[in-house]
This record gives sequence, C-alpha cells and structure tokens, in this order.
Amino acid sequence: MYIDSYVVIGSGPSGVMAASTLIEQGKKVIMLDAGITENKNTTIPADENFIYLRKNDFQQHKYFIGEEFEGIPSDKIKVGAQLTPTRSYMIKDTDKLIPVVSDNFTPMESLSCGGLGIGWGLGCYVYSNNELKLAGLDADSMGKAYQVISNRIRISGPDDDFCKLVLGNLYNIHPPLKYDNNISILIDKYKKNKNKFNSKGLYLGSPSLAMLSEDYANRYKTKYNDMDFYSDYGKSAWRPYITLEKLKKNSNFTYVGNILVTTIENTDNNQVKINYINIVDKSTGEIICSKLLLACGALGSARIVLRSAKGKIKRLPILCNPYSYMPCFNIKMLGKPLSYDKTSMAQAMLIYDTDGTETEIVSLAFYTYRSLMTFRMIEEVPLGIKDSIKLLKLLQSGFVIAGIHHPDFPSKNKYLELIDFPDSITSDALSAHYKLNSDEEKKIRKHEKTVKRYLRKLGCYPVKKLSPGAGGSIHYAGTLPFSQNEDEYGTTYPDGSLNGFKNIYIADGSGFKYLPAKGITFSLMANAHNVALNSTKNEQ
Amino acid sequence: MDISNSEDLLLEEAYSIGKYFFKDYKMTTAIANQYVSLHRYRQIFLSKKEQSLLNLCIKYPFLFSYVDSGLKYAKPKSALSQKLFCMAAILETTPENFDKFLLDKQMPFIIAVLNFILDGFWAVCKVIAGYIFVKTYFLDIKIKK
Ligand SMILES: Cc1cc2nc3c(=O)[nH]c(=O)nc-3n(C[C@H](O)[C@H](O)[C@H](O)COP(=O)(O)OP(=O)(O)OC[C@H]3O[C@@H](n4cnc5c(N)ncnc54)[C@H](O)[C@@H]3O)c2cc1C
Repeated sequence: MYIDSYVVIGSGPSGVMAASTLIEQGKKVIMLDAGITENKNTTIPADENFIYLRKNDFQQHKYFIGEEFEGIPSDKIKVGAQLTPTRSYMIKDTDKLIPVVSDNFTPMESLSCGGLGIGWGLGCYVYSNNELKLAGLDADSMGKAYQVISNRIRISGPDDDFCKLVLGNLYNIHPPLKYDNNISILIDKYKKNKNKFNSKGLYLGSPSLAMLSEDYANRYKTKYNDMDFYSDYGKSAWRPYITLEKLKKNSNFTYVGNILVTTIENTDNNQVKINYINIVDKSTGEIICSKLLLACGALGSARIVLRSAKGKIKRLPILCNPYSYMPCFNIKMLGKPLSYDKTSMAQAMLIYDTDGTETEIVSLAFYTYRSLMTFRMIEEVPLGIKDSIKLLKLLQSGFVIAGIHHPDFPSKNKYLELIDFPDSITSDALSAHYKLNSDEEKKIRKHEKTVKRYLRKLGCYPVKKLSPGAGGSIHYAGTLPFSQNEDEYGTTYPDGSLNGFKNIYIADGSGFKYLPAKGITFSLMANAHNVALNSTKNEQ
Repeated sequence: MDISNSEDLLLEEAYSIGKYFFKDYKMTTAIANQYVSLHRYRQIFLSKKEQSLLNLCIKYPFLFSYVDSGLKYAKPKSALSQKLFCMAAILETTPENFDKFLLDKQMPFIIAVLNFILDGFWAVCKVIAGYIFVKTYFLDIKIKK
C-alpha cells in the first residue's frame, strides 16, 4: 500500500510533537503505533482529594492496589516502582513484543498509546548551551523549539533566579506550583543559606513541570488532589494523549494503532517501505510512504534500525542517566501530617553545577511521600510488617525522596546488539550491556557525597540509597548518535536524517551524543519539532 | 486438591492476620473477599512448615509478632511473609483503617520522638527474638520424647 503522507511512528512525547509540527506545516500525517490502550475501566472519583478518598471510598482498592492486585509489589524497589495500577498498561506486553536481554541493564519501554509519557513525571528542563553542544544539538534552533513546545504543553515553573537555570529564557511560564509543608521547611532553610549553597554550585527551587497552575485552553489548573499518580483529572498534567486528541480532530491526521513496525528500507525510487506486524491478529504487512519519522524511543528506534541494517551494524551505543533514590528524613516534620493539598509530583528541584560551567549538572528531584501508599515502603524497612506500619505512620510525612540523576557519556561498555530470541514475535531481542567505568563511578560517589552534605545542612537527613539498577532513570538516548560523516551507518545527520537511508528521520532522542542529568523529555520534544521542520525542508 | 488455599482456611487466616495487625480489626465482607481473591491472582502457597507455623500463630496469636519480625531476615521471600504483606496492603485501602496508616492530626514533637524511640527499640528486639525463633523452627529439630 502506498500512502502519500508523512508517516510518524510512535505516539510518545516525541511522536506527537513531530506530528503536530508537520500538521502545522500543512502536511498530511499518518501515525503508526503499537498503541496498546487501557482495557480496564477503573473509575476514580478523581475530583476528590487523596485523603478524602482514603477516608471514604470503599472501592479505593481498585485503583490503589488494582483489581488483580497488580499494584502490590512482589519485589524490592525496581525500575518503575512508581507505576500505579491505572498506569501499568504503559508497559503491557513489552516483555513479549520487544524483549531486552541483559545482566546489568533493565530499561523500561512502552508500546502503548502515549508511550512512556503515560506515566512521566512532567519535569521539563532546558539544556544549557554547553549541554546542547555536547549532545550535538544546535543551540539557536533548540532555543526556538523549546519555546514552541512550551507554548503547546504549558509549564509551571519558578518565578525567581532559579528559573534561568532550569528554563533558560522561556516566556509564557505559569506561576510556580505551591510547595507542601515538608518542602517549605527545606526551602526556608535554603533561602537563609542561599549564598553558601550557591557558592558551591548548588541551587534549590520550584520544579518546572508540565502541569498547569492556571487554567489554559480546555485544561484546568491542578486541584492539588495528590492523585496525580492515578489519574489525569482536568488534564492539568500534559500527557501525549492531550496533543493526540487535538491531532485526531485534524482532517490531515490519521492514527493507526496495533502496528508493530519491524523493519524499514528504501525502495528503488527512494521511497520508504515499512514492514510491520499487527499485534492483534499477528498478520504482517507493508506500507510505502514518501517520508518517515521514527519516534519509537531511543531503544525502540535502535531496534528497528539494527534489524533493518541487515548486518551492516553490529552494535549501537546507549546512554542512560545513572540514577538512584535517596530517602531522606526532614526531622522538623516529625509528628506533623503532610499538607492536605499537594500535587504528587516533584515538589522541588536541586541543581548541582559540579564545575560551575553548566555542563555536568547533577539534578535531584524532591518528592514527598504519601499517595504511593505505605505498603510500597514496607519492604525497605528493616522490621516486621506490623512494626513497619506503625513507624511509617509516624515518619512518612517527613520523608523526602530525592531522585538523583547523573549525566551520561558514551563509552565502549554501553551498547546494544540484536540477538536471536525465538520466543519473541520478531524472533529477536535487544541485548543490552551497560557498565560504568571506575572514573564514572568515582565521580558519582564524589558528587553524591557533596549533595548529601548539603542535604544535611537543610535539615534533611539521607537514610539510605536505593538503586533500581542501570536503566532505571527511564531516560534513554544516544543509540544513533549525530554525526557529520557520510555513509556512517548507525548515525544520524544533524538535521535528523538517518545515515545510510533516504527520507528517514529520527525524531526521538537517539541522536543525542550526551545525556545531561536534567529530564530529557522537553528536549526530546523540542528536537522532534526541529526534525519535523527539517524533514519538510529537505527533498532528498 | 490444595487444602492450604481452601476458602475456609483463607478466611480464618484473614481474620487472624487482621487481628494481629490491629486489635480493633473487624473483618468486613469486602476484606474477606479481597483476601480470598488475592490468592486467585497471586500464587501464594505455604510450604508444610510455613502452614504449621501459621497454624501455631493462629492458635497462639502472641507469636505472630515474632514470626512477622523474624521472617524479615530469616525467610524474607517466604509465602507467609507475602501473605502478611498483601494483607497489610488490603487493609491500607479500607476507609475504616485509614488512621492506622496515616497521621491525620498533629502530634507534639516530644511525644513523636518518644514513640519513635520506644516503638523502634521494641521492634528491633522483636526482630532479634523472632529471627532466632523462626530459624530454630525451620531447622526441623526433632525433640526426642
Ligand atoms: C515514571 C516515569 C517518570 C518520568 N519522568 C520524567 C520526567 O520527569 N522528566 C522527563 O524529562 N522524562 C521523564 N520520563 C521519561 C519520559 O517519559 C520519556 O523520556 C519519554 O516518554 C520518551 O518519549 P519518546 O516519545 O521518545 O518515547 P516513548 O515515550 O517511549 O514512546 C515510544 C512510542 O513508540 C511506539 N513504538 C515503539 N516501538 C514501536 C514499534 N516497533 N512499532 C510501532 N510503534 C512503536 C510506542 O507505542 C510509543 O507510542 C519519565 C518516564 C517514566 C516512565
């Protein structure tokens, strides 16, 4: 079948932004997507506050632990520990359809409509010029693209000097979201010692989140219900489905789900042939189009390119921010309940500019703990279950969970290969290898030591460090790194086109050559916008 | 037939475990149904040894506390600790037990500190005693009559 349209594969943040730009440019777009959707119909009275629901709703187990008890963890903290039953369809069937085999790398991928954006934490951060340069991205065009994306999704962010550090020169930013009582204590302490912190390169402030603090278009400001891990009430949090709903109203846009793209190739006249499997009836098929934008996530796109290269590429690199959680305790909260009104998302952000050049930043997102429930914490307490419940009741409101991201550079110990795997629908699997070298490990230890020292100065005492293991940051990039060299298979030209192929563009983070420790998704979306623009300019 | 997960036995367990967690626990139909259906979705089967340990706790409820604490280190992956853990999750999502899990009203700082120290100390003691008890129990020591 030939279709005279641009084809975008994937409906995650990158895919929907690439498609939006193409539509704005007057192009016809077909979005092909594995597109798994939620088939359970759990109703959450989401207009209500978490505490109210806990006290009153006799059906709450359906969304807090799930009708099939899928929300009760069967192991210690692992990748995606924060996924709740209502969001767990995000990773459905990935083990069967796109398996990853590894001893030391556990990524999270999605084949769902909306991709990993179904559960993303909404953190939006602009890369500094140095970070953009290292990533291989053009600062000028990214600057403009950040603004375009910000206007589409709307961000609430800091209204003080911290804003420059996390959101650069963006305008139209909504006022900051309010802190809960736990984080307010830390912020007050920080303000008193700001100069001391800043002189060491540490900055604390309001997080910049794709969550509305003011009504905008047909979306409503957050009600601080603390139900954000379970529902998207009022669409105050931006998720890909919001943009997808808008796209679907445009007559130039068509969405086709249930399509698992397996390989891509050029035809003799440089059109693009897409081979796929229908994930429902398992039938195979092909589509020919004039231009293709791949937005399957860095691992998803790598998988398709490795398979399509027919042995010309043996390995591809992979980047993923080293990540750990550090539960800390704010002593001043002992005996105090947490604010009734709060969001569940990050309450504050700490930026540690390790060398003062905004190049190798370490970032900490601070969450307070409540709506993910006590039972998810019990495993981590070194006591019996009954005693853990008792102590957690006393301590829970004082917990500050710091999620620490470190930057990631490519190395020969971080790579992907495609291996035979008869159990999967495509008869292959990604084999992932990820090992930090001793210098990287040393740097991480050193930076975490500094961060811990300053956390203590805020009255926030680190209790332990939990590591979901490599792959746990859920930020992936660098599988098809940017390169100017011609005929270098497995790389992407700076305009987003895939080396070795014609009319195929990479619209996700596969091109990034460096992965800063700030959330990647805002930059992915900005890059997707630029790649989409480039694809309309270049006639190959 | 697997007798360890028969409905009657499960209901008895649900009652005893709930009572162990909270003295004023009332087993509602909703909780009972959930505990039974949990065993349909999760394959939690006690070994013979675990079953007899649970029976012992049901008969002598004061033992629950030591078994719960002891299992944490002696047999952290045991089916029995899974049952206790899942029951805790079920209870947490019932309105009537809300205040057992979340602090609702402010407590004076000094009281909170004292609670923390005393409860914490007692909990650690139970882990030590429980560990010895559970380890000994699973050693399968036969006492000659
Ligand atoms: C719990 C959680 C919290 C997060 N928090 C943050 C945060 O605060 N800040 C941040 O910046 N990032 C965060 N992230 C990461 C963020 O979600 C991802 O960076 C982002 O979703 C990647 O977007 P993407 O569109 O490139 O890929 P994805 O979101 O992975 O989307 C891939 C899409 O491609 C489709 N697809 C894949 N393979 C195929 C195929 N072969 N055929 C057809 N379709 C295919 C999938 O169906 C999906 O629609 C978080 C993620 C999670 C899970």
